[in-house]
Amino acid sequence: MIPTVDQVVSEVEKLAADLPEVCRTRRIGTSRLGEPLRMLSVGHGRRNALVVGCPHPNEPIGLRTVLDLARRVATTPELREGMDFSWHFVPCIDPDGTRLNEGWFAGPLTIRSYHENFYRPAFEDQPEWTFPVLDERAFFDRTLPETEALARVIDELRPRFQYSLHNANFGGVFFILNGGLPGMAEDLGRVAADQRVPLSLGPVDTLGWDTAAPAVYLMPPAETLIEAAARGTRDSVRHGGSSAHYAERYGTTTLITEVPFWHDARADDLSESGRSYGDTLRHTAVELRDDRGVLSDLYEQMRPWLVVPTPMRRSIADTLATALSAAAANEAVADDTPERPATVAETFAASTLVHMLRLRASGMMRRQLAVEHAAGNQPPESRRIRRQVDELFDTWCAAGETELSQDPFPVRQLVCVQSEAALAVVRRLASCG
Amino acid sequence: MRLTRSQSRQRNRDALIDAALVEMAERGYQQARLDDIAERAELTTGAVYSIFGSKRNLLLAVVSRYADELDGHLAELSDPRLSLSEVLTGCADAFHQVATASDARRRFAFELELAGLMLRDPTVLSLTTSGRLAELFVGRRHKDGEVTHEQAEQVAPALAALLGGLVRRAVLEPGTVDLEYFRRSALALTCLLRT
Repeated sequence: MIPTVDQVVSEVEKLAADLPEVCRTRRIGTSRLGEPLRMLSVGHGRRNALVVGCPHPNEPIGLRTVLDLARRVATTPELREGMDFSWHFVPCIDPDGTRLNEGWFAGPLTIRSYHENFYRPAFEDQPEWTFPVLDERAFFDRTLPETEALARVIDELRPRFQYSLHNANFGGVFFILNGGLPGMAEDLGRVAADQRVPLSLGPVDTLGWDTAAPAVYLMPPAETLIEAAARGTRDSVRHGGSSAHYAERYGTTTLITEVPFWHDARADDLSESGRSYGDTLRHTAVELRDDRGVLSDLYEQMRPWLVVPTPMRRSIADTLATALSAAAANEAVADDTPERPATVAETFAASTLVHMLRLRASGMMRRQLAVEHAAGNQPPESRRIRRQVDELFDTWCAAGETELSQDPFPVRQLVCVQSEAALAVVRRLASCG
Repeated sequence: MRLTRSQSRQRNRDALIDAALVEMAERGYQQARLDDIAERAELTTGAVYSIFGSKRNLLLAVVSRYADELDGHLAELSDPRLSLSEVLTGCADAFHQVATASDARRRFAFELELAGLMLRDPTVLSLTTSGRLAELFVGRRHKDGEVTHEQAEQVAPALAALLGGLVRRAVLEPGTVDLEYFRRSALALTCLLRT
């Protein structure tokens, strides 16, 4: 269904070997665990397009999109020299994190299989959100080796277009642009419609952001996002800037395409839900805090027994902090929103956040306990906690399966959305000189 | 005797409501830990989610149990032969009974928690008694005829607010309002029939 890190690296090298006149690969850095980071460059146009796969390792559809798009541009001169573009692909910017998700790549993709094998790094461990921010109100300089590698590539290429390949979970597709040109946002809506993937017309990660068109959001400044992620938590700064913020110094247009795993008819349903939007957001905030309270109690009980160092531990704590910042964001937007009915799409999007955060946190707690127990660290108290976490996880999976759709999109369809979205934006950029 | 699956679920549900009632009244909604509630009921946190779906729904189940208790007190007032004055007096008696019951303070603490949650999450349906009271009034005899739907809708919210307020006063300042005062206050609301 989704290729592993090794398969993608091998496919990229094979493409370069098959088409040496237009393709070349080179090492651009090293992951934290010592894995070489490779980049494939295609074509000889004067302008550069940079495509980055797996900036979030639990969002791997882009691995296949990289292979699809690279082959298309390598075999279609009009998409390269024809538009005066060279294309550069970093197939997987976080191989260490991606390998920790490979347990679900073979499919079938179910809510349970995904969260049983789920790993999403804490903000501080994400290449996507650890670019330096030198504003003293939100100062961040704890860059990762992968981030530094990508920053060097951005500095060298000064890309006209940068593409960060992401996935949403439930419902429909949405896009994020850092500005762009007139017509671009509408093009993106057409791409989704052509590929028959519904737009996600209720915000999940982009609550309160400006839009350029339905489901096309405009990336706020890094300082704004850093402040929002810290709200309601103990930390003043949880992450840095994104690759989009970093590349802005070169006038780069960055696109993020978040393609969903599972189809849900509510994603683009604009009929009224029967609830006000403010009430919907406040209700979500209460549910997020309630679940976070339960999970945080359990994690505090777990912590004294943990001895195996894994990135899961930072990630569990970070997910619980995200529940608090998301609750605060929901309340802030509720306070600022004039009284109006919520659409079905909006209530659906708000409810998915509750499912996502509790499934993610409990899924990673299970994984941590499993490695502890496999390593022989299984005192009675830890076994008791494990039974509790397992029971909660089972209950929440059942709730997710009942209340959300588990109807996965064919990967091919999602890859088409990501590839066509990139080409739509690059065509606009090419035509404006 | 072995319990059937549904009996066992009902027993667990009741045990969790009992436990939530104590923990939430003592610590408040936010500070009450589901872990403690589950332990008190000799069950697990997973059981809470399995039966109620969320902590919020558990709170609503407790509220609903209180509402059922009040309904029990009000049930005998459904007799169609009773006049409006008799029904108003009966309502006053039911609320006074709640105010002087042994768990009145806990119940009051709980209502404050519910009000706090309703402010944070307005989707919590207000389980007010006024809807049920209005039904009791329709068709009752009074000196100018029978109570219409519109008149019942006028009187019920005022009566619910008045008696609810008196319950609070009786809990916070015991001895300052007696049963006679509950009854006279309730009867005074017949003036709303004229509007």
